[in-house]
Amino acid sequence: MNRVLAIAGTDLKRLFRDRSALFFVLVLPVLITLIIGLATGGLGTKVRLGVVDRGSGALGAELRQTLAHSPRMRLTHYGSPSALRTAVRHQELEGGVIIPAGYDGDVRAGRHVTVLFVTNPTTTPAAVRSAVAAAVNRQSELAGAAGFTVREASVTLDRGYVVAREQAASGGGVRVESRTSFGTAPLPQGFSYTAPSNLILFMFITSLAASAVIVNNRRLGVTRRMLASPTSATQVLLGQGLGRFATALFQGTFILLLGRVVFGVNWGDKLSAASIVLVFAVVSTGAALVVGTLARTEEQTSALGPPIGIGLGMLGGCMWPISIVPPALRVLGHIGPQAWAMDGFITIIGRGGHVGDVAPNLIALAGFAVVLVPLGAWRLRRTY
Amino acid sequence: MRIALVIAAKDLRQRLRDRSALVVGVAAPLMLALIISAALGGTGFNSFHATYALYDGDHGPVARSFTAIFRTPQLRRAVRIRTVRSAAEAASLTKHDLAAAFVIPPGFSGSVTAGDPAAIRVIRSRADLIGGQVAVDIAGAFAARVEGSQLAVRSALAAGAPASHADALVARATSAPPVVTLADTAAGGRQLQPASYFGPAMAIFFLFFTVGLGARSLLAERRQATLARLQAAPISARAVLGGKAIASFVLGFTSMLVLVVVSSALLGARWGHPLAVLLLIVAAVLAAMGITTLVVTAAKTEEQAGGYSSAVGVVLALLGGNFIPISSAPAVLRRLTLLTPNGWALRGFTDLGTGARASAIVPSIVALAVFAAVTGGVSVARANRVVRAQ
Repeated sequence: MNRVLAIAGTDLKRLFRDRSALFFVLVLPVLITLIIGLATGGLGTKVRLGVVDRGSGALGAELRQTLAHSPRMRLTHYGSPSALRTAVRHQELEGGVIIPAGYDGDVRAGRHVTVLFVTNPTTTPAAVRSAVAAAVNRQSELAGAAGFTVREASVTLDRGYVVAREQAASGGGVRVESRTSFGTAPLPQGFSYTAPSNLILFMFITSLAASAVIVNNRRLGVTRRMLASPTSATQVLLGQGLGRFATALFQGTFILLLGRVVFGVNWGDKLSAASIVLVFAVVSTGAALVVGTLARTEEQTSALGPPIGIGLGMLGGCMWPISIVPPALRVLGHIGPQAWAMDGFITIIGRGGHVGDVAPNLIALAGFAVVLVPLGAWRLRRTY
Repeated sequence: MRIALVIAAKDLRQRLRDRSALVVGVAAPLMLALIISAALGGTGFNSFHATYALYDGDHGPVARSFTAIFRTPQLRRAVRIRTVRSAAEAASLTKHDLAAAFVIPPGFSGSVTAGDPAAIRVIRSRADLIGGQVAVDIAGAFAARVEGSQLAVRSALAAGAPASHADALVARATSAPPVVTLADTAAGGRQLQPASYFGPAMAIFFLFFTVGLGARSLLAERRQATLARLQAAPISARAVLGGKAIASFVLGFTSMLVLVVVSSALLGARWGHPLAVLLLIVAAVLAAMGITTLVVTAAKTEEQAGGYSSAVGVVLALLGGNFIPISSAPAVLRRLTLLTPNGWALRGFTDLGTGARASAIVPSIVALAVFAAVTGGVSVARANRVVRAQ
């Protein structure tokens, strides 16, 4: 056992002597969690909306006011539609509204008017459009009601507007009450989503990247020299596996704690969270052994590791929620361990699940471990 | 020059034989762009299908007009409705296999016609965000229409329209078309497809790794002492560095070009004006070369160089919006984007991809050229020292 620990210890020492490894294990996950958390509104930042309003009159000004008073939006004025479109395209804005010239006159005359909503399909959140549509609907309703009142009750247009406004302010209305089948939000928000997804993403990627040590050991003949000493092949194998496992577990635990302390993530049931991290560390170890024995050079491990890790992470919901992708791809995503681990975290963080609820996920992850670890060990054994 | 070319050819042969250049330069970005397009590209309404549960506890005329909208041609193709007998049943279905449930509470029609507040309830499943959002939008559009006619009838009655003809009044209000509508329009000349954003984004991200391989080979040659042998021969440091630079450039340029061609053919990504795309690729490759060489020459060993350049590559990609668009990030973060070559290159590519004029990329080209000149200048000096130190 001492020998196993010594081998694992040496591997770890060699890994951490390289400061860039420390960067990948400790700094990068934090940085990415922070940036993505901020980019997806982790701090509840306001949505930026641009508006072009050239001579739209009093009603146009009112529409602008409604948008500006929305608590989640910040309005910026643009001089021309093309400047607005460019700003949306360059991601300086999340969306834009173009109120046509002569808006006020047309609306009051009951002529049909189209307000343009400038979107960027990859970046404009659905909520922005809903908020703008609500403001536009409100004006449309008022205009419709005022016009209707003029026709039905034979009053002036100004009087029609006064009555319509009075009525709109005095009750009535049809609302949509929306909730999810569990709680209020469909998914954990902000850092509560980015922290677990980066935990999963990086435990795996770091393990694959660290498999370079296995290649390096083989290339430099370290493994052969260990075997020449009175150390059994099983001990060498266990030592090398333990080194990988300790790194993965260390990183996972670090992000768990950091998420709690710095980003304020409530991980839910502690036992379930710890179990997922533990089993996933075993899975990552198995994957590292397999890649470390497949690659011939260190170059190849660093060429294979990140794309495989990022690809499976994308499929597994580490980059975006897997619930927004087409059903077939959702099924396909579960070929990797990431999807099972992410589902598990969503269950405990978002739905207050316990060990019983994540049992299927833990079993699936254990299945990956049962395949990958012996496969990697067998292949590594053959290289001795 | 001839010597530089020989060195470049040798480097290229080595890179290709190792196959890591093929993985990093072509296979990986293509695979990731494919996954992204498959995941995020098919969310258009044409391919949308969902089944919703519907519980009508009201049975009034307004509730019936709600159920009627699912028989309209455009919704009938995309949405299937399963009518259920209780609100609880509707809610429990969303826990398992349905995207969302509509619940129309008892007395809904009565409240609407009496001018009282009314509400439709939508229960979304956690498993299908898009289906849930569409359900909320459908209910929202209907609510807005009903609210509009309700307000019209109430205003007309309040202003003195005869109450004896209330039914006829409701019918006329319901048939009035909306005065103002909101229409969507793309930010560019045409809609930016996810493939046209993430294709270039992934290509730029992996470009840093591809050209990094070239710079790292300098350190490998130092370790293997082939660099010292080159120095012993009548070969100038300039020829050695030139050869390495040519190899890196060819590798980076070819991989980007292959990605452009393959992603347009397979993923339907639109890259825009060919000449402008080429110019942008050249500028991006040069900027990436400058930065990675600077990073690699700061390292002592190949492992260190690999670690440093991956770290720099990932951070730049993250800040540059290669992984996730940064439009909803705080202002500071969006300004940081323009401190990265990734941000500038991606901005150029999205401009072209949305059909902007070729001249729109001039700022991107200038910014990339500045990156290339500054980092390239410093790194040539440092690389020279690496070679001469032999």
